Amino acid sequence: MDPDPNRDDVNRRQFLDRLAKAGICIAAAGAAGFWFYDSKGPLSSAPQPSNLTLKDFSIGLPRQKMSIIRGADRAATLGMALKSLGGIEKFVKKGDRVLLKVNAAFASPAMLSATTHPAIITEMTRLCFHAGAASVVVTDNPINDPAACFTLTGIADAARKAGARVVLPSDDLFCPITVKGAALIRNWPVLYKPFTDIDKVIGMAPLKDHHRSGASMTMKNWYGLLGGRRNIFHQDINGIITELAMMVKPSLVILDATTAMMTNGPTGGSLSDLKHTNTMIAGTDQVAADAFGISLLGRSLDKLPYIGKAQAAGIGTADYMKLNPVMGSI
Amino acid sequence: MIREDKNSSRRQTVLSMVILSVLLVIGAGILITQSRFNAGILPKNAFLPEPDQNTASVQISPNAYFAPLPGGIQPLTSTEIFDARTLSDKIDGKAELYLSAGFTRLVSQRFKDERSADLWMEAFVYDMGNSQNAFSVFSAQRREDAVPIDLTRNAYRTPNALFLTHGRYYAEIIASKASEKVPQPVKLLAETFIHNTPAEGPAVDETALFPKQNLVKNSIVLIAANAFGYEGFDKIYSAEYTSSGQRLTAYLSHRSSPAEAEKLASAYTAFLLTYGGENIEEKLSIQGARIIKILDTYEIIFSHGSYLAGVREAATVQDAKMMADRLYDRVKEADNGS
Amino acid sequence: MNIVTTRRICQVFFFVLFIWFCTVTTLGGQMRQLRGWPVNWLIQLDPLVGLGTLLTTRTVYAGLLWGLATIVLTILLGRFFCGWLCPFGALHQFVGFLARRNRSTAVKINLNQYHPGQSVKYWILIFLLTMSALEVLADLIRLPGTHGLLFGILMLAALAWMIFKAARQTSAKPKKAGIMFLVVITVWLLLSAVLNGDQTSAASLQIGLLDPIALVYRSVNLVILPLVGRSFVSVSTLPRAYDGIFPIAAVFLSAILLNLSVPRFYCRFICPAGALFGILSRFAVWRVGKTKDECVACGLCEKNCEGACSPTSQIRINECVLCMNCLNDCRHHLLTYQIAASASGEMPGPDLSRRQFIASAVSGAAVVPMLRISGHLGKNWDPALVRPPGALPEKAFLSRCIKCGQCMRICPTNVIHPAGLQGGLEGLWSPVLNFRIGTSGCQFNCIACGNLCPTAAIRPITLDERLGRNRFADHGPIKIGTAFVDRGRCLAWAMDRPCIVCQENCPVSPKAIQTREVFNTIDTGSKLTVAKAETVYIEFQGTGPGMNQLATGDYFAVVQSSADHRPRRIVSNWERGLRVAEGLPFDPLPKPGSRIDIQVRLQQPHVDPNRCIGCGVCEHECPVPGERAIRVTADNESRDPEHALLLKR
Repeated sequence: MDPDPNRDDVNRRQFLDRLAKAGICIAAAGAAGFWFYDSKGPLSSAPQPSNLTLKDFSIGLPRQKMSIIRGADRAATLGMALKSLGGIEKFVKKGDRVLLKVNAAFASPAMLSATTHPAIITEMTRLCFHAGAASVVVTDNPINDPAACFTLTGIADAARKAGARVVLPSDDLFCPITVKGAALIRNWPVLYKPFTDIDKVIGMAPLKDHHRSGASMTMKNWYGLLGGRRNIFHQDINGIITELAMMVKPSLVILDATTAMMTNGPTGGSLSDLKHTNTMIAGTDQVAADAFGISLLGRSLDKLPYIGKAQAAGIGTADYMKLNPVMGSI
Repeated sequence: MIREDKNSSRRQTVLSMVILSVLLVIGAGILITQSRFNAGILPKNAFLPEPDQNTASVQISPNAYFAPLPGGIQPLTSTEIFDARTLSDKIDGKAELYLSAGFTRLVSQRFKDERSADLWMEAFVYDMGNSQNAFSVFSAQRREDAVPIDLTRNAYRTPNALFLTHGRYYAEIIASKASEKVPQPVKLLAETFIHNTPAEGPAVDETALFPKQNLVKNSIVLIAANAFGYEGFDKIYSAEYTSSGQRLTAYLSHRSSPAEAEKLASAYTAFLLTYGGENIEEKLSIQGARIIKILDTYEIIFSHGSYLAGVREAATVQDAKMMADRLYDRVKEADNGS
Repeated sequence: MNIVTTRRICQVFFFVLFIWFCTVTTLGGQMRQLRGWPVNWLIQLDPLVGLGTLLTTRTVYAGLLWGLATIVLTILLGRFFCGWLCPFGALHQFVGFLARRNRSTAVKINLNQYHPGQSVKYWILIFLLTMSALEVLADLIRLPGTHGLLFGILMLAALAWMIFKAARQTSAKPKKAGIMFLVVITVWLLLSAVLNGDQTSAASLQIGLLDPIALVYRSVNLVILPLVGRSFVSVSTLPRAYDGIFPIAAVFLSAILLNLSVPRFYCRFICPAGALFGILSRFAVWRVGKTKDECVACGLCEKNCEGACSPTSQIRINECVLCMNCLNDCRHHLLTYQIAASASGEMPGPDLSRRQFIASAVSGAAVVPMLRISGHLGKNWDPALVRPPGALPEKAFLSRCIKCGQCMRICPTNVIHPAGLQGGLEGLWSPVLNFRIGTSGCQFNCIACGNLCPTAAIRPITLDERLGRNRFADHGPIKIGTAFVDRGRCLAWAMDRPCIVCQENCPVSPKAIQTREVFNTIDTGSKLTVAKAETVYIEFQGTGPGMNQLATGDYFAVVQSSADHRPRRIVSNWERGLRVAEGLPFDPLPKPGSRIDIQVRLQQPHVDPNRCIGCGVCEHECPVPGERAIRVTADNESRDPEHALLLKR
């Protein structure tokens, strides 16, 4: 109809161009549809089981060791306790990256002994560096606001001054973990990331009364690694403490019983809750350390079922005398 | 112009036809699809436990009461067993009826008939401990449309089910379909059950003692407790009679000892007297029998051996005496026999 | 046959089909019930639903693949969906037709002029799609960190392309382009380094708010059908009620009424699906256009132009809804549907500046993270948000739900309702359970909603999974929440009135609600002192409760300071005395002058959270009429392990 052959030509070119583009679009849409097609829909919302576990940080002694040192000066008793175990060099090698798991649960002053005392953090950090540690990390997932807890307890200050790095728990540091043979810690968020490039783990706990579990010591201290809505575990406190002890295989644990919280734990709040028991316990067996700790609180083993459960699970022995603990005093 | 117009309208018509055919195809497609039900619509029997996919190949075996199954009948579900604690999970509120009558165990299972696809049956076998208890639950829930059948001494059918007692068992076989006659498979199941299960007869069969004359069909019931409003009356068999257009009730109970029977008879007499009954001076052929007028009807109470027996709600003294005499004859026979 | 007639037949066909689909969406196998009717088909044909869920979930769920057919046809033919298929479009067209019927030709032509505001729908589309694409975008930003090699290759390719263009001197300002390239790479790398992933950056599917198919399904399901069902013919077993439908009705009504001022207002200015079709039709093979440029410019072709796409001059293909009215309205038959472009030229694709595009995209990308600062997906979740069984965890749920109301329509007990703000602004009109309104709770033997949901926001579960049997025995039944007894409102707990309705109605076996028996002494108004007593009778010195007020079987008499404290059931009473059941006579007899306590036997309900599935039957049946004394919240719902109440073993 149109006499102008030029226009026809232009039209044809335009059309072919358009056709090609339409073809590409259709092919792309078809490929996307094919690629992303999902006939079944999402499956059960159950999360995929996690295979993550914490690695074994124990130093693999032929037999477990323990030392119990009496004295009021934390730095001195800690130093002597370590010396009697063979010295810090036995635990921390040159170039090791060390993580101190402290108890910073509450934003309360150090003198109330609800948290790990800054003095032993300073001393432990110093000793680690003395043994040639490359770095020292201090961490915990406290109950109260993390920043406030680390500051008000004096832990942050003590750690920094001694050259350690404080890691505050943030959401992205938690990963779901499954503890082998555990019923409770399955796919549960745990403060995992700070452990990924660590060679040695030292648990540092104060000796405290604990209303729900009886006493909070080195095993209960790992509770501060749990994330999520962990209070649900208070429905089976003995079970969770046992599984925590299964989860963490530390290089060393320190139980600071210089000032023990005898009543109104785990928060305390009054100096009258405290008693100067003047003891520092160091060891490689967390069950044995806790079993000794209970005796300082004046309680019997059968009041704390988790000790027996942990022993039955093969984590350690409640009969600490079997370890021939080194006793001493300053 | 005109040619173009024509051209255009022809094109439009052709295109229209194509489009309308597409619509027809879509319509047909939709009509075909609608017969493939959405998975959200559950078949009626979705609640029957489905055979587990992992164990689908495992044969479900019939329970011992029905094994081997008659030809053509297959188990549909596995056997379920309930005890006194769990009975209400199965039959909910009705459990009370069984529990109060001495229930010990319920075994139930569903069966299907290969010959008719939509027919399935569920068999309930209640172990009631003894035949008396079994009869008690049997008689307590006799259906209105019951038609007696000749399978065991106590058996009847309804349009879709069969109920019977056999020894210490009370059994129900309920079919998913109603019909004029009992579905054949239901009957076959019942026969298998009866054949498989030894029935120790009752130690004392009171039901056989009731005189047959004038007896109202299917009227014999066992009242487990609180018979006739009197708390002391338990395990009382009662039966209805018609005599010259009047109804009356006869009852019977085998007690543990003659003394106990006599004691209960006097206690019931005393009960009637406190509630407005009066002693009638009337000569009776039965030794120790009392006759009482209450609310314009007559009652006779007597005991013989370990049996307690009596007549209630007779309109006249004559009716009451006649019935009592006939009952006494039967009781005497039975007592002598034992 | 006239093509316009065919179009009308086609529109009526799909509109009737749509109404039929809505009406039959009731659970059952009858002809006028759900059966296998493909009631979701129109939703599935809507490619915006498919595209939106593809962006949020990176999957195309089952039937949504139908959208691909629509996309292909649109690329070939143009916006046929709008003019021929869309039931909402048909409704607009019909109302617009009624409104314009008696107007003059000049007014009609004037109403159908292109308006620059028509580009608003593209802003809306981009806004909604960037909202859906958040996760994909975040992944793209993270690309240098996650797939460094791929990123490198991409950048090298871009660089090569630029050099190539610069060498051929087709690029206007090679220097400026180079700087831009460096800026983009730097910003990208920086962003990838600082971006950390958390749930606030997760995608949210909000296309359902304005998508025409979701909108019309929702409005008919929740507003029109209940209205018709209550007033005229029954379209469901029982009259339906839906909570908070006012805004839904308002949006629907406004969209319809706007046709009175501008025909197809919604389609031209708002509709995001229309915008998507507009973009897709850019390369349409067939298109409406003029065969000759010269014409008398009478404007008649625009008299009935539904898309306001100016066929007279340069036609806007992306606005043309293929109503085909112009073909026969042109006296000179200059307009046709052809392969060649219009002889008067075409206006290229959507009228959208880069600035508008970026503004829409950025605001779309910002709004969801902003809404989620409230933390309603984390610790601040609202326990009133009880979702239907099979609903995905909230985040995944929000990336699928299009708020079409199909689950609310199919629910046999009418317990699923459009949410208000329980789930935050983004959960608006998504399904939430309300146990006060329906005919019962959520039936534990029903899996209808998940099997109907077109996007699997509610998963298609099996009865086995719902009940936790057979293969799912280890998982236990699906829990949608937990019932909590409000002891301050409960008759048996707070008011000394016997009531165990919740326990009786609990459908779980063994029951999730158990009762514990207690005897509470009640206030009878006056002290009851014994005047005379026999084994089962007591006469009072003064007057007590009225005739047979204590004879319900729930009241018991206890003699104060007697050795025998056992309560005795009262079988009858009158003002001056009472009688107890004979089974337990008074022994010893109460002495005249001793006090009688009247006790009520209560069975107080306790919920076992381990067994409770949150079906809400108890809440529905609770006799406390206003706020129920037993209520279900989403605590312990199975879909989110963070909402667990109990320790699982």
